[in-house]
Amino acid sequence: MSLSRKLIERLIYEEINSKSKYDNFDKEQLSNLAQQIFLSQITQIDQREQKKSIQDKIEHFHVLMKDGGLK
Amino acid sequence: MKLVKASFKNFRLLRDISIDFAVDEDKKLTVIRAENGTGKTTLMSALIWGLYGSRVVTEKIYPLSVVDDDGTESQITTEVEIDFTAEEVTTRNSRTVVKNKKYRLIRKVITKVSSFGRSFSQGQDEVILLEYDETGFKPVIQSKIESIIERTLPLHLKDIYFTDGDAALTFIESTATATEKKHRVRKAIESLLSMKELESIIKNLKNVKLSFAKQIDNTNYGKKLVDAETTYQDNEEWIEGAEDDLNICLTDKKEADSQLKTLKSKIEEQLKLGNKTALAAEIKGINKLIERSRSGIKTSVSDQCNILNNKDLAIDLIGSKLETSILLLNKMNAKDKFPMQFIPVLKHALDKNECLCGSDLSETDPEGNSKRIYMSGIINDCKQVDQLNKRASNLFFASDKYKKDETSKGWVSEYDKCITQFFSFNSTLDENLQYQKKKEAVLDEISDELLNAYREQASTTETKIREFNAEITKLTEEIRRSKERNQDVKADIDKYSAKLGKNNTAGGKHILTDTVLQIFENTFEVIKTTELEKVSKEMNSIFLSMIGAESGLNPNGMIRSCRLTQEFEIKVFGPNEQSLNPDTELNGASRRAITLSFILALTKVSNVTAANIIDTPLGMTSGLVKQSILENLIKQGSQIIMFLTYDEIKGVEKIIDQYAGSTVTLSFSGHYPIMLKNKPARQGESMLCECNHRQCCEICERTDQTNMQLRRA
Repeated sequence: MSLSRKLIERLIYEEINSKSKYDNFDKEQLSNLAQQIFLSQITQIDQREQKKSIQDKIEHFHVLMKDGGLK
Repeated sequence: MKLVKASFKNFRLLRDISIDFAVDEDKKLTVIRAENGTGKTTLMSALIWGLYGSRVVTEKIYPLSVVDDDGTESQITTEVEIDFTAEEVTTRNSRTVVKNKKYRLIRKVITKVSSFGRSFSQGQDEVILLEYDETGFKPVIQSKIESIIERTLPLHLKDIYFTDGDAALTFIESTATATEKKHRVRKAIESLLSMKELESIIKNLKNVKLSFAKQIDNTNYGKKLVDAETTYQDNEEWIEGAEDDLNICLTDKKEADSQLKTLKSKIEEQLKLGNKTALAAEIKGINKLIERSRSGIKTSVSDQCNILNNKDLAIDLIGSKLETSILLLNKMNAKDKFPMQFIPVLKHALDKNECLCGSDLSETDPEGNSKRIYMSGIINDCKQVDQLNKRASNLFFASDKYKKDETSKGWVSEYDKCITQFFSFNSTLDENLQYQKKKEAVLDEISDELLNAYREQASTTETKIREFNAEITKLTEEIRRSKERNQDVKADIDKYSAKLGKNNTAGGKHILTDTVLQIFENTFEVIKTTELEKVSKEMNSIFLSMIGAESGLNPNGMIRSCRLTQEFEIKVFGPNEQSLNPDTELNGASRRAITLSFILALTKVSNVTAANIIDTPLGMTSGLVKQSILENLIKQGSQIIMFLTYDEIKGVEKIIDQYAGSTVTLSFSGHYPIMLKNKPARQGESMLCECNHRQCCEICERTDQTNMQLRRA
C-alpha cells in the first residue's frame, strides 16, 4: 500500500473540484477513475501490467461515463 | 501501518519476550523504559530483522548464553512474530478498493553453533505471513509476502521509521557527503510523497493515450489525430531525453565551476606566497643584515672588555679604598723608611774580606770568620725588611696615578652606551633571524611546477565550462522550441479531438485518458511545489517548537529557522539568514531535533499512518526542550514507540502519564548485583516486566533509583 495514499486522494479531489475544465465530466466518477489508477499502479510491479490495468480502468469508466459526463 | 504486538524468542538477549504496543488514537505512545545495556538496540534490531530479515540484519542473532558449554553442537531457533495492521488494495469485479487488514508476520531462522561457540552457520530465513479475517488467521501466498511488507513499510524508509536517537542524524550527519545527504532526503521525500509512482502513472497514461488514438478510424479527423499524437509523444520523449542531458550538463557545469573556484583559490594562495627570485634576493638582504648585527655585537663586546680593563674603572671602583693605603705610604715616606741600602754595604765588606772598621774578615782568620758569620746573619735578617720596603716604595711612587678624581667617572657613560648598542644589535639579530626563517619556509613552499599545474588545470576547466555553457544554451533553446512546437501540436490534438463525433468510442477514451493525464500532471506539479514547501514549513515549525524558539524558551538563541531547499538539502539559519552548519554549529539536542522534525514533517504532510520507533530520543536534552521534543513527537506521529532511559524519563513523567497507552520496563539479568537489587531467576537475558515509568518490582528494582512505587506482580 502506498504510504501517501490519502495525500494523493486529497490532491486528486482538489484538482478535479477546483478547476472548471473538468466541468464537462461526472466529477465523482472522474475522481474514482484517478484514484483507481493510482491504486492499481502501486499494486502492480510489471510495467506492461500497469499499462494494461490503466487501459482497462479507462475503458471501464468510459462505459460508465459515456451517457453521463462525456461529450 | 501500526504495530500491535511483537514477540521475540532467542534473539540475542531476548530469550522470550512479548510486547503489546499502544494503538489508541488518544494514547498512542508506547514507552519501553530501559537502562543502557538492557537490550534496547537488540529489540530494535529484532523488529527490523522480523520485518526485513537477514539481508538487512547481517550480524549474528542467536543468544550467546544458549550455546552449550559441554562441547556439543547447538541448534538454536530464533523467532520474531509481529502483529500489525495495514491498508491493502484488493481488486474485485474490476474495482480496486482499500481495506484495513490485520497481519501476523513470523520470521524464523535456525543457527547451528559449533562446540563452545567457536563458529556458527545461520540457515535461510523462513517467513510466514498470516492475514486475519472473520474466521481467524490464514496464510498469505509466499510470492506476495515480500511485496506486502515492501508496500507497508518500504525498506528504504527504514531510517524514517526506525530512528536511533544517538545517531538520529542520517540526513545531516557529518560523515556523509553533501551529495549522499541530499540523496537520502530526496529518496525519503520521493517515496513518502509517491513521486516516483506519479511519474510512472504519467508515463503510462501517455502511452495509453496514444494507443487509444491509434484505435480511432481514419475518417473524421482520426488520421490527423493519430499523426498529431505521435508527433506529440515523439517530441515529449525527445524533450524528456534533452532535459536529462541538460540536467547532466548543469550538474557537470556546477561541478566544474566548483573545481575552477578551488583551483583559482589555490593559484591565489601560491601567488600570495610571492615570486621565488624576488624572495631569494630578499633573503640575501636579510642575511647581510644578520651579519651586520653579529659584527655590531662583536664590536660592542670588545668595547665592554676595554672598558672593564680601563684604569678609570679600577680607580672608580677601588679609589676610595686606596686612599687609606696612600696615606700610610706618605707617612712612611716622611719617616724616611725607604729605601734601605744597608745590605749592599755589608755584602761589599764581606766580598773585600775587610770590615768597615778595617779589621780582617777572611774565613781563615778565626776572628774574621766569626765576624763574617755575624754579618751574614744581619744580611739575612734585613733581606725581608728590605723587600717590604721596596714594595712599599714602589707602591708609594705608583700611588699618585690612582688618586680618585672626577675624570674617572667617564667609564659609566661609555659602558652604558656600549651595553645599549649590544642589546640593540642582539634584538635586531633575533628579528632578522626569525624573518629569515619565515621567508625560507615560504621559499620551500613555493613550487613553480605546482603553480603551473594549477594554471593548466584551471585553463582546461575553463574550456570545459565554456563547452558546457554552449551545450546548455543550445539544449535550453532546443527544449524551448520543442515545447513551443508541442503546444501547437497539443492545440491540434484538442482541435481534432473536439471534432471527433460524440459516438466515436476510441475518441471518447482518448479524451478521458487525456483528462486523467492532466489530473496527474497537475497533482505531480502540486507535490513538487506546494507540498514540498509544506514539508519545509512544517519542519521549521516543529523544529522551532522542539528547541523552544517558538514558545519563547530560547528567544535570543542563535537558531532562527530551518528550511528544505529545492536541491533537497536541510539547512539551518541563524540571525539575518546566516547559514549554520548542523555538524559544527548546532548542539546535540538541536541536531537531534532537526532530524526528528524532518521525519515528522514528512510523515505529517504525506498523511501517512505508520509507527515511529525511536531509541533514546531525549538524550542530551533537558528541561523544557526535553518536554517540547516529546510533546511534538507525540502530537505529530500516528504511533510512537520510544525506548527511554530512567534519566530521559525524569521531568517528562506527566506527559507520559497523559499519552502512554502502554509502558513496560526492560532489565538485564547481568546487571545484578551492581545495578539490580534482586537476584534474577535466570542469567544472560533481558527481562520484561509491566512496570510503568513510576513503578518498580522484584524484576526491575534498581540500586541507583529511588522514589519508585513498589508494584506487586
